Amino acid sequence: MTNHWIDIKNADCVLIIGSNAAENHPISFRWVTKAMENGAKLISVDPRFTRTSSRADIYAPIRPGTDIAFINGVMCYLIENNLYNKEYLVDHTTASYLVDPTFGFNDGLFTGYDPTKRMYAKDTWKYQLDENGIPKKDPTLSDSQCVFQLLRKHLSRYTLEKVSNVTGCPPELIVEVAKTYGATGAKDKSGTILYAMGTTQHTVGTQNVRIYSMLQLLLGNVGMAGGGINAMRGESNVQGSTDYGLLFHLLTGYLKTPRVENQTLAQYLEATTPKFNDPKSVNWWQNTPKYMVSLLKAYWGDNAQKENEFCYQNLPKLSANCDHIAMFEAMYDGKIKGLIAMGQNPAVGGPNVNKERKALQKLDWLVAADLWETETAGFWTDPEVDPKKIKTEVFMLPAAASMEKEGSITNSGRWMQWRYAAVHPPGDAKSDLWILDRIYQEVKKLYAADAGVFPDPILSLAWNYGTGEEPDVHMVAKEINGYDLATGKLMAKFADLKDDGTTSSGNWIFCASYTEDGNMAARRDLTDAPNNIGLFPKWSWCWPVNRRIIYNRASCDLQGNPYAPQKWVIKWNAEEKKWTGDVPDGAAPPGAAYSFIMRTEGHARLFGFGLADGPFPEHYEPLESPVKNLMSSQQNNPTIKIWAGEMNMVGTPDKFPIIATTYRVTEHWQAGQMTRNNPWLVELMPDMFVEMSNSLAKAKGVKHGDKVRVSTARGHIVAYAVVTNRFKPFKLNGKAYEQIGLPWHFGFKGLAKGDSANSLTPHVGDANTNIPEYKAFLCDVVKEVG
Amino acid sequence: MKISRRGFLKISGGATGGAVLGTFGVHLRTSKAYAEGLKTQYAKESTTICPYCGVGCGQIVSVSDGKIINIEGDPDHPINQGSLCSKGAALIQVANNDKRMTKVLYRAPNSDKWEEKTWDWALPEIAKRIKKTRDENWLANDKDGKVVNRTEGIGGLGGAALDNEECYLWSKLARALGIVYLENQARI
Amino acid sequence: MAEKAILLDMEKCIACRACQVACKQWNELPGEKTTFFAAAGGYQNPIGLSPSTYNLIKFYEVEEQNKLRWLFRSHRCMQCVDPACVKACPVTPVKAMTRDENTGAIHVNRELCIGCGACREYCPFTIPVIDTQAEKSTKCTFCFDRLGNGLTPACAKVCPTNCLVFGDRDQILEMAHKAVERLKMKGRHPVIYGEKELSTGTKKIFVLPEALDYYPDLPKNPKVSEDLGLFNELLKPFGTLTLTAALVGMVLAKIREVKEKNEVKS
Repeated sequence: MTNHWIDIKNADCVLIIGSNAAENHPISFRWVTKAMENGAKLISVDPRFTRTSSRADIYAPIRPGTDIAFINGVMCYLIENNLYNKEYLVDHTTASYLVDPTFGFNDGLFTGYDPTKRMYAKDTWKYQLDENGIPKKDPTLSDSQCVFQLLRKHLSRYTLEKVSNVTGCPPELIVEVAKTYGATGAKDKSGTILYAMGTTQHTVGTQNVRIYSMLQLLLGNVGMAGGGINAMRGESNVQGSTDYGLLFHLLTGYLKTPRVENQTLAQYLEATTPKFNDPKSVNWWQNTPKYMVSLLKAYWGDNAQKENEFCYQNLPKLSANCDHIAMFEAMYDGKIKGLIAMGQNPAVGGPNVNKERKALQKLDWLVAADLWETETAGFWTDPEVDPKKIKTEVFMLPAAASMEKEGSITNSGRWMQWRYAAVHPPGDAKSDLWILDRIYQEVKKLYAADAGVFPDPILSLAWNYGTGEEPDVHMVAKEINGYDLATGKLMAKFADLKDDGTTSSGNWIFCASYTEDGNMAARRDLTDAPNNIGLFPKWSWCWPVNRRIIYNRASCDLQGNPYAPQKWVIKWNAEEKKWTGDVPDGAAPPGAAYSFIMRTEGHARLFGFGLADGPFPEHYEPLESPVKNLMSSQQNNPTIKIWAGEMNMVGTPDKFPIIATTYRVTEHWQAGQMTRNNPWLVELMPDMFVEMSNSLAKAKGVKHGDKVRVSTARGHIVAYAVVTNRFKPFKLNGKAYEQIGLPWHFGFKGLAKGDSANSLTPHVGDANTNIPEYKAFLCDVVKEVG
Repeated sequence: MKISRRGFLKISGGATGGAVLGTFGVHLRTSKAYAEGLKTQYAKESTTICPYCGVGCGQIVSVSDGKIINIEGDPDHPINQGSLCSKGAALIQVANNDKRMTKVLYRAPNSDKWEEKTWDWALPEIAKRIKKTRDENWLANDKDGKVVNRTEGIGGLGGAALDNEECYLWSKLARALGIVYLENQARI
Repeated sequence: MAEKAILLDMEKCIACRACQVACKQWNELPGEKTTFFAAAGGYQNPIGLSPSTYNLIKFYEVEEQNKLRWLFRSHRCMQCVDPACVKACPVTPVKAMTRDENTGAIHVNRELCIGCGACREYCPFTIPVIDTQAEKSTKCTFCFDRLGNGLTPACAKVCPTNCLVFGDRDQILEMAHKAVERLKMKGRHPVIYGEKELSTGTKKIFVLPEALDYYPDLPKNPKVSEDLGLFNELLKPFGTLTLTAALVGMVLAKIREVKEKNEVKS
């Protein structure tokens, strides 16, 4: 989230798209309800009529996988009807930047596409530069090569009629959404967009997020109270696990994992540190060397010295993507021999679980730490398999629950909150901190006795968290914050980190979380900031530097006056020559620095040259779709990776004519181990079910409560039918297309068992992130006999 | 507008007059317990943050005789102000649940059962597997001779259910081992 | 203590069912073994109130003129201001269905209750459920143990959207009327339920966003059966020691028989 949960109350309009906030983040509705009490409108855009839709002023149904068409249609309407915020576009975005004339777009492809590599050469996706290497601009936004005009041209193809035929949403509803949400384009109004996995779990997932951001920029909603682009995260610390680099492509604090091209630290820093000539651009990532060197100091301590590149060579270097799907493909191919799963249950939560469960059988060994015996730890007990034929050794480690250990987690609003151990874990269960510490100690012992291969990173690792039975979690938290190595004092802020080896920080964005003043995450002071908009700056702590609303410089004009004085975030105090309110995005006076400090050019990027699949969002059909793409002859995103090989079958509409989507419900959580073992929650939702329209049920001879079989090219499941008016067929080009919906929480273990929806989903991911396309695929439904 | 009352009653079903229903346990409280006053009166209280979704609601955990007897929303917490959803309200059944894992379990190759083990046995065994797999699947250089210093033989998963400090150690350990297949729930 | 009440402003409900679970958590009621969603309209479970379920969210799916509404309602004891269940409770001299002096909460004293079912028979909303195994009547206690210690009832405290609000009854009624105004402005057809029902009203004050027709299982004109007086008369001769559930059952059956005969005649 650019903003945070409480801030939703400040919105004049709440647009919930690609998420079902009422069901999956119920407490968000405490603040949505507050906003509505103050007159805000609620819009729910969703393929299904959900508990969120039940509260909405406007419910707009769209076919799964058509967000880009829908929002492009909305933006087209806003631009053609002059409902956008021009001042904001000029002052805070790249709308005025001139793009190189060689850039172009034709029939679904941008310039530079290489069909053999399924990649773009991006040499035409660039700005026109002046003699100082600074992009040329046209603040009138009229130059035909300026980003705004190019965007306008791109969007002009998304007419109401076209968008309606792609999405299935009636044109009048698209207009109603555009007008209602467009009203937040007024300078002193703001609208918030709440999204989640309904947005990201598509082959165009990144562009889906991007169009929401672009809509927010058109209306001047980013940086504002009650604005922003707000990813509602589904797990209590999935923000933290991302911040801490538990992803193949990231180290901590969003530093990039070294690639094979980065043979030396100098090469790494050269490649990952952006340069920009405009002195008004803060270009925060120019500090990358300070953060990287401080991280290496936290990892390898005194062993990390300038002479040995601060132990840079100890880090593994990537040659290819090693994302979740790639990992399970490699496992299925027998390349991965051992797997350590810390509280994750891919045998239910992964895409194409028939394949992922099979992949687990290829492992020599599996270590699974969890509170429960999950379908992953117990994959060999699957009733469908013969354990005698499975060679994998499995170590099931009993882990402590949240209230049985001490430490911090980070919520979607980036608040790092400390929690305490109330009781001891049951039996032999231990915290993950203890488990990880002991595994390291044992591995180190082995390498100390027998060097094996390349023992240096292990033997020289700085790893000392006290002498107690449990590692000292405060010592870990302090290491994350970092030290001034000369004085031994905790760092006060990341602006003081150095690239010469005199400072350490295990995660630069958390630097300032645990200082000489104490553990900031444990704070419980309810004093609000002077703007009184619910920032609560002394309650816990949030990254970066306790800034509660990021990009907040964009809430003010270039004189430092807030656009919305009644809910100001920051404002310039001319007498004292400083900003007041929230922690500003940089202390520079108004107008002296551009507002989007994390963007190299300092302006929010409407022309996204960094993306794999194009600088402007373009609609492509999901990998499996019942219709031809009406927007171009490119049926699917041309830059997605297509996984061939066994168990990767793709379904076609002749055999699988029905659209399927998966989702979560209030009463269960993720892969289910935390709720399907909980009697009160099992009471509420005891069984796997599939939701469908009355018309589909009638066509298939299915009644509410019947068991039905749902099949895709990957597998089939059996579930109870919920026949409901909340599901309706989509009308696309005059023809009706049915859809079904499946919760994905169920599996073959636990108190409540059921077939896993992910037996049906494909191994295909987004072009930029490889997040799987769980949300749109093709199936067939029949009544289960017997 | 008119909805047929009879039609609705037919589909919605009525409450039964007398009932002994299948339950997952027995009623624990008697009227006596009510009469004695608040059950949490003498409990030790501590704060925590809900482990389910990413909202980050505050909760108060009440402990009596080393056992959690109540968990409810933290009224001082500015986000949830004492409220919770059905999952957060049910958290006590994560703490007190006979399906929780309490022993290290080991499943031998081709076996059809778990065996109970101790940590002292399991940790060195796990370390041996890590070292063997790492050493046998070590790639110091790629085919062009470029340094890569990694193993593709071991995968690492998870983190969204861990604390930050645990995520940090997991990330640090995995990189020190040269693991590149390192992913968590954020990807899926 | 001023008369307390809970506002149930159902337009704000998101059917998260936290109140259903929080009720079980505080009252230590076990989860029921349920199957699928036997009730229509959504995700309701269990099928009805029970000795293990004092509070239940009901789902109503209504579509007219292409406008779909998914409505929710909390189903539980209304905590009548003038409770028929207490009048009907034949246990003497201290009633098993009792009004807590301190908080005004109507609850079952399980030590006294004989499980006869008179409370359910005469409840205008047919709420109490007899636990036939324990031979006790069961229903919402209004969390009188929490109330007595200055805490909010578990359901009202847990509610994410402040759909449920606990407070003094006069203030709650004021809030209900404000909610009605808000809903009318939005073009809804709100109804207050519990203010004047049974003439003296109840302490659960519902604001329903649409007309009562949408909630067909909720009695439009709840009434206490006229033969409550007769029932009390018939049981008068029996003291605490001779009173049994079977005896009360016989009396109730007799009254029903006479009533049915009368209905046939008329």
